[in-house]
Amino acid sequence: MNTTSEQRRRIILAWAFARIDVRAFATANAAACALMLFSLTVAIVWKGAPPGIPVGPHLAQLAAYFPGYSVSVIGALAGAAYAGVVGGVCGLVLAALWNAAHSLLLGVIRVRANLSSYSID
Amino acid sequence: MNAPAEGEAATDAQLVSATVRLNTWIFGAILGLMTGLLLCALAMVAGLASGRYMGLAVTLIGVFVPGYGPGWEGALAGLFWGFVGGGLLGAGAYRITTRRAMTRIDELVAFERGDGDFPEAVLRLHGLSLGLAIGAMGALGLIGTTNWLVIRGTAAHSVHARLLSEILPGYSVDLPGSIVGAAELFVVLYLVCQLFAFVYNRVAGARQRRA
Repeated sequence: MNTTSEQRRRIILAWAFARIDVRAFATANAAACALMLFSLTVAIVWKGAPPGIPVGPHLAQLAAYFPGYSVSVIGALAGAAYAGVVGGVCGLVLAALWNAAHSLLLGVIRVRANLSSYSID
Repeated sequence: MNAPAEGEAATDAQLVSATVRLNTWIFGAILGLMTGLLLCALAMVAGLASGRYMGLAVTLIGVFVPGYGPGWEGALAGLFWGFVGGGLLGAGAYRITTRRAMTRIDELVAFERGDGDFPEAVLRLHGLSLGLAIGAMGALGLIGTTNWLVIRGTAAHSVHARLLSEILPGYSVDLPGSIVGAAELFVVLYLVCQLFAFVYNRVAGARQRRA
């Protein structure tokens, strides 16, 4: 096998067991979740409602899970903070589980390779 | 291309294919577990809390998840169906994301310094593939759930589904409306995934340079 194909195979193997950067994944997930809830709330506030009718009564029910959240610009900021925390934790758990599964698998492969290299003769 | 080179390319393709199969199972299992636990937790909280709003959210999810509702039994149903649904969603998204992995595999890993026997690397995300995968899954999900309501014959009474038109203009609880809504949802999810991949790659890159 020449060097180029050896390098390519090394890249494929690295990709197969590559770990996710947990902190980066959690940050990205937090940013995406925060942005989504913020945009959604601001869009509903911007759209408004006829006089006497509450703005976004269904979205406002999120306050049951996120105390302090409301369909207003201030509420959007509070919601973004909550969504960021929830998204960050979910991202952290997902990335950690991914890394743990791959570490476990790689460990099993290493142990099996070591065992098969021993001769019982 | 000569015969040995063709043979090596075929081996590489097999290796990539095996990697995709393995990681599809792992990602599906992880997302399934997380979805199941999330649905379980929501049902438990709704069962414990007396507020009707929490129950409403869980009941609405129960339209699509058989047996799901506030309380212990509903939580167990949510755990099971969440694992199945989340698992299929995760597996599907991973499959679509890695469809052309072979052609851009160099962009998907960043090697780490290390003198171990195995090449250690950090995964990099391809925003376009991720956006297409998540966008497609979301869009298909919206078409599926909307038309499930149509098939059930409850589309006319689905006031909560109709609320989606507030954020997806043109959406309605019927086939044409679901296609319009799905197209819009695809664009939204695609953009969010682009942002997600951009932030992840930037933060991961910066952390790797510092290390």
